[in-house]
Amino acid sequence: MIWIHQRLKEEKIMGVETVRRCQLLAMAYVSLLSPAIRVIPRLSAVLGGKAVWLSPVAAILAAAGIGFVLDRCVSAAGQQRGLAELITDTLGPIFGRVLLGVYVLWFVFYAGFILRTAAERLISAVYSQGHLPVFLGLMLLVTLVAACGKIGALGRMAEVSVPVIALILVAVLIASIPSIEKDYLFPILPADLPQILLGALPMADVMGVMIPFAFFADKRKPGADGGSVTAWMALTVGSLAVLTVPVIGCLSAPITQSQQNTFFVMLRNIVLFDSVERIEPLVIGLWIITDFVYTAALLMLSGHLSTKIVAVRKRNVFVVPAAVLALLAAVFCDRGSFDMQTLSDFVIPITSSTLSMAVPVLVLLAAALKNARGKLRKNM
Amino acid sequence: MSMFKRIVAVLCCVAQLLCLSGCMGTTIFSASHEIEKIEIIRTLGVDLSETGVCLTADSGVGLNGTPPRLYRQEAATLATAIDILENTYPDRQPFFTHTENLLIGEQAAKAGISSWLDYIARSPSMRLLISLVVVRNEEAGAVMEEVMSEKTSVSDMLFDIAADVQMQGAGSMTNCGQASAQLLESGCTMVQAVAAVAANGSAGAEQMLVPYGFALLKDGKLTGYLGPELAAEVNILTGKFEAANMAVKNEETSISLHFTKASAEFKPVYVGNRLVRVDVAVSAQADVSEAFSKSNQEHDHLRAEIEQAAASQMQADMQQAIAVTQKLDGDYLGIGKEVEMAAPAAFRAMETPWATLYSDLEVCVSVQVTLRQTYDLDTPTAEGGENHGR
Repeated sequence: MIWIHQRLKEEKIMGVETVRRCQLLAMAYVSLLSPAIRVIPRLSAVLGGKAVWLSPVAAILAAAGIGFVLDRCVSAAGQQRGLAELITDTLGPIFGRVLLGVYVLWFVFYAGFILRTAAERLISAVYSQGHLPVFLGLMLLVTLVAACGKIGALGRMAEVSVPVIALILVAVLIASIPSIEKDYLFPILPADLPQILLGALPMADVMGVMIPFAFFADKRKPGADGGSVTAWMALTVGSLAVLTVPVIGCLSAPITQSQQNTFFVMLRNIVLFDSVERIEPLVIGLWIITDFVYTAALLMLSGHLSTKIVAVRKRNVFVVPAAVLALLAAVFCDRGSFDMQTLSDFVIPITSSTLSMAVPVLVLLAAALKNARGKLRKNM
Repeated sequence: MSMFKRIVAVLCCVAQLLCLSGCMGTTIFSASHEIEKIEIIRTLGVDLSETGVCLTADSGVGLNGTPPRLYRQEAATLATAIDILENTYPDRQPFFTHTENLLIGEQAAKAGISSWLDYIARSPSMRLLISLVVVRNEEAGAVMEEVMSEKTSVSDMLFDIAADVQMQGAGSMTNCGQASAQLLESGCTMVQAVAAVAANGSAGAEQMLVPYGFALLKDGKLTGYLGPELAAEVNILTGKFEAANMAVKNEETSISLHFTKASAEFKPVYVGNRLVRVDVAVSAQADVSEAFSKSNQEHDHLRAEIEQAAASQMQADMQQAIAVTQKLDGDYLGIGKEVEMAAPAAFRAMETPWATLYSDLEVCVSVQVTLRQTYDLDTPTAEGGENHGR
């Protein structure tokens, strides 16, 4: 409490909106758990079959790459500059703003999609007689309050949530061990390596959602401030392993492939000492924090980027319309030619990978090339 | 923060607490139940009916000794039947989140149970931990009624069966998750079968539920049974053996053996990429639990003879169990899994898939039985004799 109070005091004295690097990474970590629970390990099991429980090992490579890109995006632009500045500097003001506009549209749509899937998860897993509009409305209202606040406040919330989530994941892992059946995990042969790598693709895609948090890098406080990207990526891979191994071990790959929210299905079947059971509502309730942080961050990001596109300084002018559009996206996202399954398994992962990973990597490469050319000209 | 904002924040927090209390229907949880108004359902019995499904739900004997209750509902699907039951008794609402057993009538099992397993997997109130049991020769609802009395019910009997069945060598319980996984993976599974019998063997007496071998399910449909006489051997083959009793008879004497340890090792024999045979080496340890009459034979000779007789009996039972499953064209015993574990690379490189191969495959079982504590083997305790303390 004293620590939080001191941090609040520091920020108040400085009078500017800032976010510590550690908070930024905490936000990114908590946020990725929201899409992770939707696709992992189901989509991984669809691609990788039984061998998917080893995919987190393969995901270490992806985590190293994503960690490197995130680190570069945060630090490459320099002080008081973020990924948005890097994009506009590299692509020029017009193309840069067009690309930022694409990001804004994507963040708004994705916020709506996250809202929708979170509400559906609550209804299908706990509140079976609940009404979707009520959940959507309430969740949007709560996230809107956070999205209109300071980035640092959301970062602090994420920071506080991390140990709670980590503790729950460790507890779930320990509690699930007696229910794991070796037949569901073995045998695995070297020939299964392609399946293991395929299973790691959704994990890489999910980890990719961390990179857009580099758009907030212009608000970060100077200094490393406990934000070692390596440590956060290790925590991320560990969390994905906890979401995968017990589920495959307790439910088997075929059941995992055929069910939604398989981590919660697995939790439903955990019994401790023949007396503690049905613990899944607690974890499902806790997971709302991840949806809340991610949706609020996406709305905040869309507002933040909008201020870079048009000359309006107040972010919240854009956040409120973004929230309304997100609500519309949440309501209508399964009304078109794509159903939620297609959106979840194909459209969202492909678009997310492109905008969250491929584009920042290309921008970084272009920036590096531009710098190299500049140096060459100077030398000549 | 201004005073106004603080007051608003505090009021918001207080407003949230109102939603959490559950008093006067203010809870946000739309499916909330007052604990004194719910009846926890422990066993679901499912049969076919003209409308679709006939569900019988049993609460079991209450912790304070209250008599069990049966609820019955017909509907087009299991989900609908449960939904109707949940909303029919406002003062004593059936509550399904802690259900332990799913009892399927024989006719319903023959028609197929896949949709019910799917419901169990999808429903937030059900769990894949629920034991799956098939009633032999009868409807589940009828058996649940037959065995129910003021002091016991099908739930309590199934609880006892689940606790003891493996120790008795009378079978083993399979839950809905295991059955679903096996059905999805190999198309076949095997679950505990039960039957209602008269408690003291005479007609008109109280009925009780007993384990009655295994029900074999292929593609979700009941295809046959493995009888109770094969249950212990099936437990050995499936790696679920805990204990069993067996009466062994030779020309001269009868002896009852208590098996405490038994395991099967599967050795596939490949020629190139062709699986030609599976050798199953079973080793078992037993103690003498009852010697019926005095033998005149030499101790070591008698011991070898009993071991041989027990091994032959077990071997014949195992071969029979395997033959039944081969005849029904399904690897219900999960032998394929064991063969795969024994040599995974060779299994995957096989020319013919296991499912096609199994029904005609040669499976050779060899059994070795070792008797321990044989000092009382050739002289029963009541007859006394010179063999004690040997």
